Amino acid sequence: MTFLQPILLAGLPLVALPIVIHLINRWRHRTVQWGAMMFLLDAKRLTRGMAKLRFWLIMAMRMLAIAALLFAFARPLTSGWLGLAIGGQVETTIVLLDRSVSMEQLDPVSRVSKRSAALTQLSSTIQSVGSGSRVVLIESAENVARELDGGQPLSESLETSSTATSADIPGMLETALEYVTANQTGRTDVWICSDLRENDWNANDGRWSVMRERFQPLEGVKFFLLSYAETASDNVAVRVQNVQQRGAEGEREVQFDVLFRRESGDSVPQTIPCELVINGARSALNVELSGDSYLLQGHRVPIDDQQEGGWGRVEIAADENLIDNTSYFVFADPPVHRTVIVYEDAQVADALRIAATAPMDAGLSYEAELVTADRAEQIELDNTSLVLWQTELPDGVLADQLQAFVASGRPVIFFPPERGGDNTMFDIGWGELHESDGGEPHHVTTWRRESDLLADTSSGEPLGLGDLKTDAYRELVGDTGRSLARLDEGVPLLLRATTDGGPAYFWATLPVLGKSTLAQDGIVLYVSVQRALSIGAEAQSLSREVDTGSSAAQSIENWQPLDVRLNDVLLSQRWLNVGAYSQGERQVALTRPEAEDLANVLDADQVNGLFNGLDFRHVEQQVGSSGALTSEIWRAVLAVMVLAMLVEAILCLPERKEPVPA
Amino acid sequence: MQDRSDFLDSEVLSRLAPLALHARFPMLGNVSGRHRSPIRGSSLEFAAYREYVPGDDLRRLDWRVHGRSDRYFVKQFEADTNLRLCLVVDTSGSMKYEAGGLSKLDYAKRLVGTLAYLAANQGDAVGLYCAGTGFHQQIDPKRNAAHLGTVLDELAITEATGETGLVSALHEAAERVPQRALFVVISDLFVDPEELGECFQHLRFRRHDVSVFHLIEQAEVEFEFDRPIRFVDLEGGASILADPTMIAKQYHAALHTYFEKLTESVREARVDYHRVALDEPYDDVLARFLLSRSPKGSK
Repeated sequence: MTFLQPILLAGLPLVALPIVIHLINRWRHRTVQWGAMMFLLDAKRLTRGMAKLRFWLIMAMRMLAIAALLFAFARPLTSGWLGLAIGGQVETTIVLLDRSVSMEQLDPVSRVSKRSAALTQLSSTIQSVGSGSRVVLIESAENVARELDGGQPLSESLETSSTATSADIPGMLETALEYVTANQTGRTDVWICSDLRENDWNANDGRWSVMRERFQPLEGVKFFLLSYAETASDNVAVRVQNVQQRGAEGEREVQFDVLFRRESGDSVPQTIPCELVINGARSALNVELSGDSYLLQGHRVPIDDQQEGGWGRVEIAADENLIDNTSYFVFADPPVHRTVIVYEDAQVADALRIAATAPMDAGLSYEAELVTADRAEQIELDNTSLVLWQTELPDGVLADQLQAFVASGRPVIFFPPERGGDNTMFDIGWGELHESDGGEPHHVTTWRRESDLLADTSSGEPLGLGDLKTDAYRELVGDTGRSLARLDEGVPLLLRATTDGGPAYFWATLPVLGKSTLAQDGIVLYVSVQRALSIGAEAQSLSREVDTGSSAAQSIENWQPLDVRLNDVLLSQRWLNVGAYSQGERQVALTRPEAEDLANVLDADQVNGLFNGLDFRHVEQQVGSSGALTSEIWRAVLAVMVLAMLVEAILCLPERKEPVPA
Repeated sequence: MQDRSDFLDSEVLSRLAPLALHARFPMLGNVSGRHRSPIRGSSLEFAAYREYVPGDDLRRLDWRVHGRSDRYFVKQFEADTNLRLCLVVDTSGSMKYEAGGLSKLDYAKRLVGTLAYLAANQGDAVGLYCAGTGFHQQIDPKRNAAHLGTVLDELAITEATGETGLVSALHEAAERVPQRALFVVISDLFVDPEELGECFQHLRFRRHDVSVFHLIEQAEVEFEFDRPIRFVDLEGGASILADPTMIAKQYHAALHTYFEKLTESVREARVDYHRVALDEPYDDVLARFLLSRSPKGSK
């Protein structure tokens, strides 16, 4: 039990008042000359049993009444989870609300989502605990600290409504930290409402340690995590991927994969009826789901020859989470996968050309333009998907051109020049040349297998970087970005620079004999170039997919919805929800971040580890539980007091006198 | 030391003078008096017929009965005699208990003095026994006028002190007074009722008429106090600090049990029992007492 006015508990010694009064009364006793001592002695002898018990009961009731009165004045709180250390006057309450897709999981009975339940419970808690304090909302979609007017309770509003986005909990905590330090918030309670999804919490993110270090010196900041980690028993998420428009005139069709994921991981067979809408035309299909997921691969739907692009939607029936039941996609003629190779070594250029033009998908067209270093200023980047740069890093206008190219979402891969080069791009430059001189070549020790250029194949097979031998490499200096592969001495072999927009990669070696076996083995070079080319082609495409809640999604605010159903979505909320929009020839499908379909949650130990060293309490809740987090119980305490007084009065009632025989 | 006027009130005496003190049972006296005797005598009160035996006084033959039955019967008449009034006063410490400025002993003295005067005035013998821890003063009954002065003087100097010895005193008195007498006991009776009952049985066995004035104050019965009290034993025992609110029930229970037993004792011994509160005028108490003992048809 905790108290809103704990200072009043200092009066608890007053509980001893009845005993003190009793002792004073005994001390102030009268003296009476008495003759009928025989009855008095009998009475004293009989009093040793029940009467003494009655006396102590009366004392106990009086003490209880005083204690209850003091407790009532101290405004006690009770909660289903004892140990909550709310104490003192809270000056600021910061609410970090996870508005991710998974927070829309509904309780099967009450049909209340985790987000709504959190809002309701937190609202009542703030009203009781933090009444009078400043309330600041940081929701995951915008990650901006927003003060609520006049201590208004949290409620369903645009800022707290459902979204199809993911959350960045460490990022939200950074925002909270900035707010706390900038505003000197004093005694602050930080409430985090989340379902502990791994993708939202990014437990391995380096920002956690920074956040802990910066919060630790701040006095009076307490963290409360209101978690709803329970996964859905009956929820299937649907997602459309690998959308391609194929075929020549007269045989046009759109081909896509549909992925169904069952959150519970059950293996009970289940028939899932789907509605498929392509350019407004509806069709239906049933899918048999027997495992935790099912991939409907290469599903083809013929489309009108007159249309150069279009949109589609796949939707399944309502289940425990309505947000992940719909997936939008757009399609258009795929662009030519064009690569510009700027080189100073013809052998390198040749290897790169082969990697860039060997078709990965026979339905697509590939081409490459080779430009020598001295003609680099003449390159044409408008219809280019990828730039492979193997010469000195540019400066001036050419550097600006490349940065604009990257900013448009298309990638650049830099390879080291033979010599020289003080210029930098994206804060990275070339350093010294290291050669093995006939000695043992360098080997790759670690590389990022989960994502990016060197990720494992779709079948889960790793790329053969372990077999790669590097005889010579150039050191990468400056802001080293994110290393995708490292050599045995920890030297970065492939680096991804920190950029706004598309990616910029730096290979530290060249794909030629004597430098490395990149070209010799071929697979690693080919896959990495093709993956980069896909990224560029996608960015260049008239139709593209954008994750909801991303910065790219924000730009579609004034675009036209392709599905009439999307007309109801507020302009300001479009970027947070799935949909399909167009502007001119360009089309965008807003899709849920894929990681939101994965039901992995952090366990309590992991969460406690993230807040290690901070004043942190974890409140585990379930949607549908009716109990409030906290509630004032002064009425109950007063009732106890009244009850105690009643019992005391009854015990003090004068006993009926025995009639004296005549 | 008190003066006789402290316990003898001439107005009370003159008011009670018309009321005679009667014994409930026949008494054996030395001289003629106003009390019935177990021996047949020559009073005007017819008692019974008895068949004539030689030697009977022929003057008492009832010729009318002879005329009807042709048998000789002698008429017998009651004998009137005087009585011995033995006044037993409890002088234990508890008789010092006061209410309204009047102690139980003072009240007892007024009863005793008045009764002694009335008895002596009608020709009865009066004796006084003061029962403290054993008798500390005994004046056997005599009927001369000077004896009343002795009794009253003794009464004047009597004080309440020490533990009660009423039980032993009554047993002793039962043995000490050989002839039938009227015992009037005036006490608060703070003794075991069963032991007291045995005393009464002893007195009755000795053919004494026993009357009891039980002096008990209302405060002792009600026991109503609102805060802790130190009760000091008037008989010299240890004092007790107690919260009356805590023990009142037990006190009343003990009192109730005591009265039940006492009532049973006096009923079995056919004791003439009177419970008297100190705020009750003693002349009313005595008037009620005297009237209740009057034979039917007499004043």
